Amino acid sequence: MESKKIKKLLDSYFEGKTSISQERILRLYFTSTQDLPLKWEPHRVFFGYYNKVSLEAFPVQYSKHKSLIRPWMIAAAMVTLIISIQFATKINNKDKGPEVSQEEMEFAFHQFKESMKKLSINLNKGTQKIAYLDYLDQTTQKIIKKLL
Amino acid sequence: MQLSIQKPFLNQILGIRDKVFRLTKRFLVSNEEAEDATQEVILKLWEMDEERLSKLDSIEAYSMIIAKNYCLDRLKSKQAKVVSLDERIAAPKTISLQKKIEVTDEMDWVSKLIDQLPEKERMIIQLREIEQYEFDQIAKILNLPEGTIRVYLSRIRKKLKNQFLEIQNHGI
Repeated sequence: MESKKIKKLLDSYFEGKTSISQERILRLYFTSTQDLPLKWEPHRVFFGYYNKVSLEAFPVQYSKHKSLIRPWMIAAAMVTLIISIQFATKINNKDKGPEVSQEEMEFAFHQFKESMKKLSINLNKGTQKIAYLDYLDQTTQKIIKKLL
Repeated sequence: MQLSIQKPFLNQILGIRDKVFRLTKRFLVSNEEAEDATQEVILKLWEMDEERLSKLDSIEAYSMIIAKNYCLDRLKSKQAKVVSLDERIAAPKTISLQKKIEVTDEMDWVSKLIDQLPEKERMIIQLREIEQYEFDQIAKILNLPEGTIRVYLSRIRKKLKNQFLEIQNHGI
């Protein structure tokens, strides 16, 4: 029976007599088996913990993602949009020239949103690349400084 | 050391960096301190000339020894944020044995139990259970005989299990 073998391994484990590969068997068993008997709960937790912690790596951080879009840009865009809509509406009210339909206004707004999106994506792409180069540069600088 | 480092060596260094990070975090607690410590250790390796480096039987063991000594020095100088030995383990709210406990909470207890171990014992657990070093490697790093390490390990494992059971039973 599997659990007899595990029991034997566990006894050996607590005596400090198991090999690395035997300990790996225990770890695999306790982290992957469902419905373990309650008395083995501690083992499930301990082996689970060791497993989890062994995966932790040195944190490699890129410089924080900085958006290049400033608040004033958003404000300016909004103002421009509002003015253009008002302008379009005024022309409409004076009953001179073609009416700007609801459809056309919606389309203009949609186009505006799309171009803001595109602008934002391009700015973000640039930011990521710059951040990565910045990180590489920092690390290289540190190493070079120490070597000199 | 020349900047034209061979790729396998670089990969080894990256592996060592993670192990050193985990060890220093165990002792120095905060991420920042552990990162600083790790950088120090790695830079020390970079600064070694090739001749000295090739004479080491194990770059890894050497790195872990530097890391260990760094941690012990930091703890001695009391500049690091140390987990106070008086800190009590937060008892769980209510544990129903029928209800499945969130594994992360239990793992926090394990983490705290290990952090509360005396330094030597903490090292042994870190090196064996988490880094999975063979006894001869651990003996080299800690400068202790293999037999002693096994005895310690047996004792620590039993102690940890019993402490865990105590916490668990406390909540019923």
